[in-house]
Amino acid sequence: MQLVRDEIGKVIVGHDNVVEGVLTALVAGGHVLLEGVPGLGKTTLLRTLSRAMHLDYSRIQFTPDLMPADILGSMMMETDGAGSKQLRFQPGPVFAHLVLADEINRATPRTQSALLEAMQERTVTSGTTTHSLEDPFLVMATQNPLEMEGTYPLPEAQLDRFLQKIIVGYPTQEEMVTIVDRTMSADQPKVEQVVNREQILDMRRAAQQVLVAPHVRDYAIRFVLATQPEHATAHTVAKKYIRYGSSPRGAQALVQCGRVRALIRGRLNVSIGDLRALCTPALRHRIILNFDAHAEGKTSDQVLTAILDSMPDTEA
Amino acid sequence: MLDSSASENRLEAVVLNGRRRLLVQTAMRDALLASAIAMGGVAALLALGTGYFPPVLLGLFVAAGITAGVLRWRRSQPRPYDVAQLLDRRWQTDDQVSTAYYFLKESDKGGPIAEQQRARAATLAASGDVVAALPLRLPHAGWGALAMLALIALLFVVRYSLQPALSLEQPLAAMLKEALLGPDEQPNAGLLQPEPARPQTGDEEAAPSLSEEAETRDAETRTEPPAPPDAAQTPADQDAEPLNVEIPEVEGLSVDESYGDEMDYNSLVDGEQQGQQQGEKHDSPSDAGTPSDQASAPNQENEAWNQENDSLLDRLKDAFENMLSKLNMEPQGGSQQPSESESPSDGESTGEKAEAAEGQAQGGASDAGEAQMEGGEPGEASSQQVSQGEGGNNSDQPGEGQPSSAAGGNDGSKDAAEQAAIEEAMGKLEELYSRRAEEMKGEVMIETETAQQSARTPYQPQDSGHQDLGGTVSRDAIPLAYQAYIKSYFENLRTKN
Repeated sequence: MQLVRDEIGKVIVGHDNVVEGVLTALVAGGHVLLEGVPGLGKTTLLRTLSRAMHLDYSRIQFTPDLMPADILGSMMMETDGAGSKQLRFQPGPVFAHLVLADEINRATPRTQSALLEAMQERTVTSGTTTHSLEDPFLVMATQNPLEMEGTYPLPEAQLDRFLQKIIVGYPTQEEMVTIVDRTMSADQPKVEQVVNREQILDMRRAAQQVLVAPHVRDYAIRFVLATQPEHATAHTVAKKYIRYGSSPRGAQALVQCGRVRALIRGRLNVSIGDLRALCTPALRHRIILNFDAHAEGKTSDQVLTAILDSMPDTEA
Repeated sequence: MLDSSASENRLEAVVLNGRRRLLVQTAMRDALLASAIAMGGVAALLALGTGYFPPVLLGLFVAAGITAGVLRWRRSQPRPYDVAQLLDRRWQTDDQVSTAYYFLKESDKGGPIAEQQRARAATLAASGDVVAALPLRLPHAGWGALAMLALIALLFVVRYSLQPALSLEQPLAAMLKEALLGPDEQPNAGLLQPEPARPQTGDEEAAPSLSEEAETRDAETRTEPPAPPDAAQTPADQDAEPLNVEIPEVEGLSVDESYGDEMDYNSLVDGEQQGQQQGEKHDSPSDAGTPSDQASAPNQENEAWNQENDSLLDRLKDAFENMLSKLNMEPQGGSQQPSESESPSDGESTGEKAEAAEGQAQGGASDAGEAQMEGGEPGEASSQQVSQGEGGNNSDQPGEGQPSSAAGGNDGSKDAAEQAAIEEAMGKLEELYSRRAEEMKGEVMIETETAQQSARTPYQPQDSGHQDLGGTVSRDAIPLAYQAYIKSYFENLRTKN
């Protein structure tokens, strides 16, 4: 994994959390939702990742007139050499290892649903035929938080399908200097393939064997329950600012991502520190804030951090 | 990297070593907690003394401290898995030790990944310092115990600097009060209500205060066995010798001068009742007591005084009723002492000396309006009051400086026999009143004057009927419309007589 990160580092300056989040989702078998303004290197990241891992890569620019068939594929009439005609399924861009769904919130809900169904089921049904998507399958969707007019925000049920939601922030001054220097340079960095598909699948299997002690598992569960305002153990901040807390899928995501994170760091066990580091990206899109939070300008990150800061490592 | 069994042993040894240290730490904490509780008992004993804090409570404190310490220690015994988590937090080893220990002891050992993890954890544990991770420190309960120890030392020093003798009986607060303010002079002074303003006499000044006498009485009742009523004179009573005027001796009637002030009121009411009896005996106008307008003012004062002395009222009632019952049981002129000052009153109409003297005394002391006694001048009443111990008081000066009588013995500490006697007397008194009420005939004395007429019917509780003449005359107030008629009616009666 470190080799992959180094290769990506040749192109992507900074954004270590974004790179790690995408790699985590890839190994864990999930998908990521990147939110950030245009021009921060989201597309470049995914392209570089596909090159470093020698994986198929496709990019879908979501627009309001994009149809599901444009993503999933469609039945095409073909005429063979004998002159007979038959329908053949023409796979869409979703049939790739790495799919970049750029500005996914600009497509209609119908199209979004088609993609999200493929993300969840990892299959595409056309007519009476079901086509499986090949592992690894990673959808990296992006959202532009600024231009919200004419967009269709993803419903919460579909947001829950993403393993992590990663906020792509602006690079620092030093990082921008590096970015500009690389752009002006005539020599563009060349990304080598360091990991193949099989190795990625091996890593996924290894991650599934990473040990999770009971007290670590309980921490993940306690944190998820603490975000549910109706629960008896809900945190006071959650009662105040959260309308709907995280689903059990949030606890699953925490443990899944924790395993990969531990593996990336060369450990064979998930620690509470792993979970604490993953609580915000794994749960920020799974909670819905109430009116008070919006009125007071609270964000999901602030609420989760407040809960996290007061959450003891062990149950009292 | 250690082999599997060696890593397991190393890991387990480290965790158990840490657990031992934790047990020692918790045992120390709970022992200090128990000692703090026990020392709290010692401090309470030093502060309150054995009077308020019996030594058995100290034992309870010690037992409670030991129980609390043992129970808390048993509840807080950590599991090895918990110790491993604690070691992970102290060593910042990302839960590797605890996870390895869990999959070593509490699970199916987790396969090859868990074995690798145990090897890593054993390496970490070997490099970790258990002593630094779980140091033995003075727990918070230790500060509490030290504070209690300091408090005990302070109380000890304060207590025995004030009182050299090693006695724990007296509370520290009382000792401090004595040391700072001197001996307690009148501990019960604040409990008594100030008496209404009354003219001071020399006798009253010389008499001991009620609180002092009550204190003396309390001391006597605590220290001395109950004495016969006649022997209940205390030194304080003897000191109040100027007040010891002679009283008519009544058989079986004890004298307790400690209730001198109470007997003022007692004698007042006594006189009132006696006056009523006297009025019953001496129906003639010459036996009448003081005028009613003179008696009404003392009545109001007595009522105010009674309200202010409610706390004493019950005892006074008991004494009064006791004395009345005794007097009613005895013949009126029988064995009673003749008064020393035989100042004759207007109501002295019989030849029996004692009876006449008693009638004078009671007439002077009573509410004369009710007693229907005329001629009971205040000056005469005063002289009678001083001279006769029966309790005759001036109506304007109720009960001041009067010597006490046996009725004062009913101070709440009377025995069952005396109580029974009182109850019997009360029964007889009630019987007497009932009989007397039956004998009431409604005789009315009317004094006709040239200027103003007034009808005085103090004994008549009912309306007087004059149905033959077609009118009804009220006892207390004759309507204006009937005054002329009544005047003429009684004029006719007098003319006939």
